[in-house]
Amino acid sequence: MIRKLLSGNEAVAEGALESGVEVVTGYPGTPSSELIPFLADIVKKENLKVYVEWSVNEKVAFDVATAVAWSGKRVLVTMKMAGLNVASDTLINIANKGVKGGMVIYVTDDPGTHAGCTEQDSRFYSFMALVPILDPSDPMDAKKLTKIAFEASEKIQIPIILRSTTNVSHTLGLVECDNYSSSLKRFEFKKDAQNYTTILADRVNQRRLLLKKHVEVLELFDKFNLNQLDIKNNFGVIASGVSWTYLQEIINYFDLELSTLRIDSENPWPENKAEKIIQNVEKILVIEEQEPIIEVMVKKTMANIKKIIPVLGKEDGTLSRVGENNTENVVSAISKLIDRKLEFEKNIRLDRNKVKFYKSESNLTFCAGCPHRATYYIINKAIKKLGFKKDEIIVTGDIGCTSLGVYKPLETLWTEVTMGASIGLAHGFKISGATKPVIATLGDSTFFHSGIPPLVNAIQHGSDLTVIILDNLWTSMTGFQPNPNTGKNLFGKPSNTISISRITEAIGAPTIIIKPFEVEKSINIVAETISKKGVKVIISKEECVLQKMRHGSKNIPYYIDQEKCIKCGACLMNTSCPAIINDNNEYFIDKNICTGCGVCAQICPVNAIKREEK
Amino acid sequence: MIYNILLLGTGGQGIITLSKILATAAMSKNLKVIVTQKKGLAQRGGSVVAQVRIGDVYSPQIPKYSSHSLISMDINEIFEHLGYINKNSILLVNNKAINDSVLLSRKNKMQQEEIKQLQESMNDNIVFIDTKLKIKQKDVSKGANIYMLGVLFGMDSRINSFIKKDDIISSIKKNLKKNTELNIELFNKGIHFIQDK
Repeated sequence: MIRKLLSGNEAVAEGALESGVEVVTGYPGTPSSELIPFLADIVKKENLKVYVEWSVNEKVAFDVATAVAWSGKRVLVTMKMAGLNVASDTLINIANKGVKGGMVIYVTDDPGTHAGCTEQDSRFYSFMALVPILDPSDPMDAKKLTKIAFEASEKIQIPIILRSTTNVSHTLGLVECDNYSSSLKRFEFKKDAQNYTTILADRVNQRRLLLKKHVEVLELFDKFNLNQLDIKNNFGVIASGVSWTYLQEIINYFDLELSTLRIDSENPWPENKAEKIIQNVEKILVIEEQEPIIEVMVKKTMANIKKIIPVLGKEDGTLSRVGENNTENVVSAISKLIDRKLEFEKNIRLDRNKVKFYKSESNLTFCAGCPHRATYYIINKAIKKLGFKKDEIIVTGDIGCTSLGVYKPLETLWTEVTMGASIGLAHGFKISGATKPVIATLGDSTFFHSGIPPLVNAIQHGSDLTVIILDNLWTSMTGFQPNPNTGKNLFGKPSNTISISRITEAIGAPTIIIKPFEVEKSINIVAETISKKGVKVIISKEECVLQKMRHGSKNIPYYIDQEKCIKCGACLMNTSCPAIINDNNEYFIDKNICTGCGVCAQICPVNAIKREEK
Repeated sequence: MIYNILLLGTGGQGIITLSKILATAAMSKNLKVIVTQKKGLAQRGGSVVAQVRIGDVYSPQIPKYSSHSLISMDINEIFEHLGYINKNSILLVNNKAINDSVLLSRKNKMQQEEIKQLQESMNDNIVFIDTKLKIKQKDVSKGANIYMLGVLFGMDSRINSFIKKDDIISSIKKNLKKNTELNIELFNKGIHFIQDK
């Protein structure tokens, strides 16, 4: 047993390796992305027989994982909440068919939307798909529940969702770790079309069996001592996930006595334990992240046993359905429950009238030398060159680093919705009556993930739009994962490369490749392409500068010749490049930050920006 | 017994490294430790926030008014986080704000007046540090984070009751494989900051 400081994501990886996982698949997405690289590192160092892949999207990752589980092996599939939406078709289907090897679906929610996605409570999928769910509260708990999930999944032959939230996934805590399991299972997949094909299956009976499995899962969870109940007095608190840790913090800090029920699994719902706490207290507070799911289940149990007591939670406004819980709102909820004002450090607060607190408004931008900055600058200039105003030409955006084209000073993008939506939306605007050109922009990984079907659709229906693929070779936003375009796998070993231009040409879109750092030339090509009819593809190809530097590329920085500089600020105003400094209207380039892309030098009206002599 | 420290900055300023150094040191003393890192979009001008909690702790978030200390590598970052501090908190602020060009629309640039008010409220508990450092006649641009950690250890006896200076030095050795000696020198230099002042 070794104690390690691990994040929730890393703890799940440890738990999976200790459980003898043989295959891990996934698609990157904050806050889940760190699991696979961490696990792959261990696999490499310890020379474990575990197959790991970043799949092309979550649906594919899920399908691959399903076959592994059907072959009798243990498998983990990882994604963020938006990814589960993509994979949900398979999730809902395979629950009915069951699994042979243990299958754990790791999905991370992001209450408070730190990662820039909409808030989504993935626990609802558990109820819709009839797939049991476990809800860890800290890294140590995440490892424990991962192991239980594999055990239960394999024993009862049902996939299990392990749902985490940002404050569990990105929190580092002490985790006690065991040895990795090295027991490999034999591949075995017997033909059984009555079960594995939906069309032949007795689908009604499959659902009946699935519901029966839930009873068995709950019995097993009880054996593992999950959903612990502790009756102490008349005040009851039911909590799950990271909210359980806020409750523990407050109980210890204020030395409180409370009756508690910890919910590890919202589904199957521990009805007996819920009954017991309701029977033994006079008032209940429910603390959970996101939607009032446990709260509604508690009320359901009350109705079943015909004992109705007051419930504090999200439905009465004690806690909020928006954002994440924290110690403050939990402490005020507990104060309300026990009718006593609890406060942290009340006598030494700063005088708020004297010291103002405010949220700084940060404006995100591309990294210094990012090719995307150049591409959006080129698009803006091409629109201008065609005689249009910036606000006349619809440019749809997509997910990933390319979405930063929405920020100042470029402000190119009008929409940013879900993976691949840029092309579908662009076609939609066109058929809705947009008479001027419409442009869709997306990154390379996004193109492979969900960009191909909408492009096929637009071409099939004779649409008229320009698709600009910002191809930087990596899935950079989530931590520089490789994709089908990279030519490397996640171990850094060479892999097959799939050419974007050959795909787009094959489906009938004339395709042209531009180099974004050749600014003037690219503006002309983009303008010319936009003015043509039909669906056209432009690939703006240049490797992510951070990856390029990491792989040893040394670039010669630029400097501003102060004698020639007319202090117009065009270099900075057009790019917001982090390497350019405005010091009282004198402009300088920080040579430690500049990567030598040369875009500012091409923007400067008086050619004052020059490359440093080597 | 609890010690909470809040670390603020933007991408590349060593916030995550500092949190690892503190956590490793706490682990070596068999103390419970929880670290929360918020680093979304850090490399694209976004903030990095790490909370390190040592002792009898359970939750990932420092409760309001309960941070014993705060290290901010960027003066612009502190005002958003004043809700965590109290009159006894120690605030160490890097005087050198990050390049404003990244923040074209960051309207809330620190106003001199607001700094003055904060200083009046915090008295000797707030220290502004110019981290243009010179070690052995050489300008050191990186390592400001480690230097500021040293300043904290020179000022705050509370953290010293959990972790000693030597624990941090062994943690630096474990966590920083490059420029280890230089960083230890910076840490030691930081410890003497207050006496030298």
